[in-house]
Amino acid sequence: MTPLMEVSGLTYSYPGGVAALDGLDLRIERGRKLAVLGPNGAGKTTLLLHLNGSLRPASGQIRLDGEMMKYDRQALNDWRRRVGLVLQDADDQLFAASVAEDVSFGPLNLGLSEDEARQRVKEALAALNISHLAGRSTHMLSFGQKKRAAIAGAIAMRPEILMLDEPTAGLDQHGSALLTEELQRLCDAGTTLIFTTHEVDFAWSFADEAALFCNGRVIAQGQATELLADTRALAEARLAPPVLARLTGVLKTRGLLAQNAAPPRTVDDMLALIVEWSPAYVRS
Amino acid sequence: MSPIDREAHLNRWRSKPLAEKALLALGMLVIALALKPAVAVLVASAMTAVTLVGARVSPRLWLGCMTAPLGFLAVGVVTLALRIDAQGIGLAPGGFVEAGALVARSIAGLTCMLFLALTTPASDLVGGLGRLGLPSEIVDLALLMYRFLFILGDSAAAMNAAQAARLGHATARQRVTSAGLIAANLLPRAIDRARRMEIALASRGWRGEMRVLADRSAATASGLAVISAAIASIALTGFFV
Repeated sequence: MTPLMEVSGLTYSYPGGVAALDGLDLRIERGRKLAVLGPNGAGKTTLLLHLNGSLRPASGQIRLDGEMMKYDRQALNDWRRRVGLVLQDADDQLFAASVAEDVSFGPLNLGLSEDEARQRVKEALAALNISHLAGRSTHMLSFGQKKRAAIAGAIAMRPEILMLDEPTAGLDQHGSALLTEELQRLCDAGTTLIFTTHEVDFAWSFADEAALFCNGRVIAQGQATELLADTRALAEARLAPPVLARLTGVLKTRGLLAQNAAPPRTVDDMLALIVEWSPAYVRS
Repeated sequence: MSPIDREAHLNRWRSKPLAEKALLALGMLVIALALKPAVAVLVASAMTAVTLVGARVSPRLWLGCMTAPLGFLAVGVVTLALRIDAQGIGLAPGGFVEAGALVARSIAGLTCMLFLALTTPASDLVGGLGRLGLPSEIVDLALLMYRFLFILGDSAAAMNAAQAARLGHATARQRVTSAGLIAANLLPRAIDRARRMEIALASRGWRGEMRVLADRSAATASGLAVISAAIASIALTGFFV
């Protein structure tokens, strides 16, 4: 089956000649959650900006649903309708005076009627649990609220793919957990998610697939629970394995977990597995 | 964030129709300036009541906003009431009456402007000017500037705190240098931010027009009529006092 998005041989240099992308390949399957992992400054944001046509590569191709993307105005409009982008700093995105106004920007640009746009705004705000902030001024929001408003602005356009640059950066644990739930609901409703992060633990618990990004290339892509347990590949991308992956590995080599046990994605999963596999005298 | 902007967003009359608030403030201003000083006194009391009781603007903030212009007014009053000539300093003939009129009109004008400023965010006002025919390019620019004002203000405040933490404000000379550094740093930051915002806007299908759904309450004929009647009755009452 053709992947929803397929990137091949992408190269791009920053003005000044520093290579940011150097023959990058990436596959994005429909309905999946893909984590693009890499250290700070690896060029993850630059990659996302290519995936909705904001930056044009020096060479390489991007295919959406098998069709090669072009860079004329009409094609870009269509591309951006289908691939939404949420930047890391929500202040770069929120420009209107109130939250509802800001969220209505995308739908109106799609040419929707005011009634349709109003309906989209309502849905998007509800999806992120910020309906109560509709009339609030964008500069009177907390950090987490700004982030939600920015995401609402992107999903109000009902993109097939939603790209988020470091979605959990700067959020506290609670805010991060809530956002994860909301993103999961979007995914359940059929939106494909691509997000960049350097937090391997977050990627482990949330992503279906992971791509390791280093020196302008994706050096490995695969199932999150397999790839993120691959210490060697992670080290090459200057990342350490997730805590739960390491624990699982140790418990398996010591025979404390079945070799075929599904890797636990959350601490609760891990605790349940340990209880299940611990000897009877420990359990009682 | 400026306390005035904050109040403008949070007061009880925030969502009242802009046209009604503007008619009240400007109508009252016109009669306070054009008619007898007695009218100005009535306008000042009415607008104070409307601002503090109607819109429930914080009295402390309102007083704070009144204080600075009142200082200028005090200087003006002294020069009107007193006369300096060959005999020395004396009271100007008719000076007290003139000064009294000035005080009444100034305070009335101030209460009208403060009412508008404290109940209506600047973005609403700019949007209103757009509906009155100000070109959309200027309106969009003004709204973006309004938004950037707060973002850059936050950056400047953070830089200022960082400098103070490293003793950048220890001497007067350092304070000047530090302030210069902030100014020099804000420009490239503002440009970077503008570039990122352009990308973000383009990603949401921006094609040069900043169209958003503004869900504002429309002015009603009855509301405008009530306000006009209130202005007229204050103007008339002033004549019989």
